[in-house]
Amino acid sequence: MTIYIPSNMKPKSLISFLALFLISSCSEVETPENVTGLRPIYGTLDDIKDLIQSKDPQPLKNVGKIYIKVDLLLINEAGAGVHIYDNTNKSDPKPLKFISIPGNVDVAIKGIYMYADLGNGLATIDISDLNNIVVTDYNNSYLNDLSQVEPPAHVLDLLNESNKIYYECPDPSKGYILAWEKVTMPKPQCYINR
Amino acid sequence: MKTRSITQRIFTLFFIAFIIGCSGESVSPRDSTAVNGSGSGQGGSLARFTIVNNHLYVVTTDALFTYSLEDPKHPVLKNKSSIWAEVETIFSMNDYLFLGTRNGVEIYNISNPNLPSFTSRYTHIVSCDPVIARGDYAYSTLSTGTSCNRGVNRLDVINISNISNPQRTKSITMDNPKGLGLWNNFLFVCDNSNIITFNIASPSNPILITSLSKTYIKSCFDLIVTGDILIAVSLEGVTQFTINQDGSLTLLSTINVE
Repeated sequence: MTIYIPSNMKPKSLISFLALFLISSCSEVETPENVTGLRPIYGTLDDIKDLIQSKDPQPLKNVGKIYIKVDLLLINEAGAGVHIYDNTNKSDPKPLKFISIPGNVDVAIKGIYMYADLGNGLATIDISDLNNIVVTDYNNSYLNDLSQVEPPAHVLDLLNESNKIYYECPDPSKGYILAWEKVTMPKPQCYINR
Repeated sequence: MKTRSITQRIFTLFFIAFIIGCSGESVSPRDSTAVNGSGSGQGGSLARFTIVNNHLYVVTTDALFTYSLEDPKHPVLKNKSSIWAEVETIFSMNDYLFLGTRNGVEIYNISNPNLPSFTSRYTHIVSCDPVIARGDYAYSTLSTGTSCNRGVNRLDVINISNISNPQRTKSITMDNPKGLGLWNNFLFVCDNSNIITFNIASPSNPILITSLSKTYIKSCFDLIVTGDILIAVSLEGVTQFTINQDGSLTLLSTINVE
């Protein structure tokens, strides 16, 4: 497609002309835009126990941080949980379980307890039997009230693709925000400029 | 307009990917899925959690949280220290916590484990940086990677023999260094897509070992050294090596991203 631009047009007029052209083309192709953003997971503290589950091993997709405890190798699935491997034989680590923990980035283990961040707080999980894990504590003391208003910074790091990070505007009537999950959504009204 | 490094773009692509519900084939777990032992484990150099004896220390962007694990089932928040720097990582050595921030390293004393007290600060220009330490020296990588839009790419050597007055003794220019780990007289650094090995027989003066061929790990970003095993983490998966006496690495296994 060629656009005829009068040769005597002044730069200012040219910009206006092009702007008009752009505006008109945009309005013709306008479709609802989907973006990758963060969506709150609402619930009560009791719901944490349902979100944290021991599942069959799953493929590694988005590698996060790792953690080792004797012969266990833990690999964080960024924002989703932890892959647990039996690493007794370093030449052949065997997948044992995947523990789903929404919003998870970091873990640490002492004894039979795993401490994991869960978007908006700290979960304590008894992993003495990986087939029957038990959430013994959930503590939201480590994030301030702002976490109910917008996603905390370390969760924003999961969405690093632009300076503008979209998130679904929180609705307090839906309950307490337990975690934020990364999803594709129609462009929401709320965003953070980093 | 801000320019973005290739690494940053790689991270971007990585993070754009929508976390899809996984439906992989299940693999038979070992007969016993029991976890024993009373000690704590080990994180990489990018960790935000660290356990020291009976306390869990957690850093968020602007604070250090102290939890008592006296009753390990129920951590109890003992203290919150606000930190006026963007904190990214935590590392502990003896009675000290080393917080890697975008402005440098903050050092806290935990001789009273319930109440970390500020000891000193080493500042540099704005950058991303994990930090590790041994004896009188700390090593910190500064990179332009991940969400850091400014900064430089280098390895800093910091003399911490006087912990209240850390001093940079050397800076080594690198490509894009991230995670790092120590083993005997060797310092390993994830630099761009290579594991680089330094000889630190003289801890104040790491010397790049040029005789060793570089170990290529695409988009390597963190390391853990445990015993004589080095575990490298990259966007492509998790790779384990045996560390040989000369600092060279022998591949053991890779868990690949699917």
